[in-house]
Amino acid sequence: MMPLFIRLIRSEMMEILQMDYVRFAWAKGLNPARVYFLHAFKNTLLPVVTVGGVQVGTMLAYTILTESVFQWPGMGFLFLEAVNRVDTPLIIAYIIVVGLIFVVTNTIVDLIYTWVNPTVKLVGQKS
Amino acid sequence: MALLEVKDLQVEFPLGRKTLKALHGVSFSLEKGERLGIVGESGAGKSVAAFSILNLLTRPGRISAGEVRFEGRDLSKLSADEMRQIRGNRISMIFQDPMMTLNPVLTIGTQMIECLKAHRDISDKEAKELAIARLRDVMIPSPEKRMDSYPHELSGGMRQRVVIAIALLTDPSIIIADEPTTALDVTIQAEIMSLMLDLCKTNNVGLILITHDLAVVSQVTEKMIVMYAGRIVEQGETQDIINNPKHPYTRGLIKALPQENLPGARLNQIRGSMPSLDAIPVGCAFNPRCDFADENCCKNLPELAGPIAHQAACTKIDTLPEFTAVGARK
Ligand SMILES: Nc1ncnc2c1ncn2[C@@H]1O[C@H](COP(=O)(O)OP(=O)(O)OP(=O)(O)O)[C@@H](O)[C@H]1O
Ligand SMILES: [Mg+2]
Repeated sequence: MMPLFIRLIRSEMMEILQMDYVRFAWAKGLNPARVYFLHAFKNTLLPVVTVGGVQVGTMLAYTILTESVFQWPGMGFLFLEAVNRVDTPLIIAYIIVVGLIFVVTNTIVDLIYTWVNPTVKLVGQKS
Repeated sequence: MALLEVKDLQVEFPLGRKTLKALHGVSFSLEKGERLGIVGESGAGKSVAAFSILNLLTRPGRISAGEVRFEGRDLSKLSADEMRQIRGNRISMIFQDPMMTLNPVLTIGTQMIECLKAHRDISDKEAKELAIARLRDVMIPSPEKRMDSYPHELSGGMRQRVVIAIALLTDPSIIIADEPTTALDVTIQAEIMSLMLDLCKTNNVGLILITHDLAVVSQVTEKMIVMYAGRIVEQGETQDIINNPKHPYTRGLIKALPQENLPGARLNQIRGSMPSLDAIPVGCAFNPRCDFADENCCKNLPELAGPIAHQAACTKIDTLPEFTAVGARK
């Protein structure tokens, strides 16, 4: 997951460093650390958070693969066993838990969104 | 000695195998509190000239020759730290598009206070008070509330006011404004322009105003420069140039103003368009579009000539017909 983020941040940064507001930050005479880490980096967080949320989901799905390949006793492995044994209650429980994790991570992503991107306002939140 | 002196400035963009030259030796100077206008068509090199003063050219652009002296110091010889103490502190910039110059994810307050704290040794509280005072100067209603706003919550005109407030924060000696009103609604252009003029006058700030609008130049500036294809083709006192332009290009520009034309008549225009940087004609760069060009113009490059108060780079100045405006000038 790390390489993906690094590449994403890199390409976003390249684009954002060309923006007028970064040039304006230089023109204000700020020190380079502030320009890079505050002005530019904060703007790259937006796509990173979006991709990050989706990645958590993908990671969860792939546990089935990793765990069965390496014979690790884990949730994915358990699920596979349950499918083999047609253990319906276990399958349902697994799906509910995974669904819950999805919902929770996406809610968290939405919350982080309002923090990194001030143009996004959740309904009911006072401006 | 002038406050700012630009001498024979040359800028080039190395692009792969070939190198594009954007400025071919531009010189001008600015005294304290003086206002200078730079006009010219799109691509003439006005922005490049402005950015090279603060050494903020976009890569791969670089200053290949010439010097920029500010208060007698050659800016190219300064260290990065010393240069930072000039940027935003002694010389500020205002950019063209206020929608793009403010960082969308930081509050107005943050963006103002950081500028002050970069150059002054003051507390957050003092910086905040100063910032609010400046916002009040640029006539932003309820400035205390605006400090916590994000740029997207303000209109274009308001944002440009904020940018002007930021430019004035540190009491600079020069403001470089690159088409500060071009991106705004026509109805607020005049308002912002007169606000800028007032603030520059009251604070005795020098102004380098880049614009397409000759009417604005004549109202705001004392001196002006006309640029064409990376060179100065005419320079001098604004009123002199507007009333009695010498270079055929300047004449074309003035004739193209709507108010120079009778209502209902076809607008005048300069035929053709500005050459691209890799296809600048030999001799006077303007020769293919000039009505008066002869053989000599296609061979030899004219130098700026005439008294300092009004110079033009045209070999045929003396033989050109008297300039007459078409319509009545206001
Ligand atoms: N980063 C760059 N790389 C290559 N060429 C560039 C770059 N920036 C500017 N130029 C060239 O330099 C020339 C002058 O551009 P500049 O932006 O100064 O024009 P301008 O007079 O400000 O025009 P406008 O009125 O449209 O703002 C143009 O021909 C442009 O193609
Ligand atoms: Mg420009």
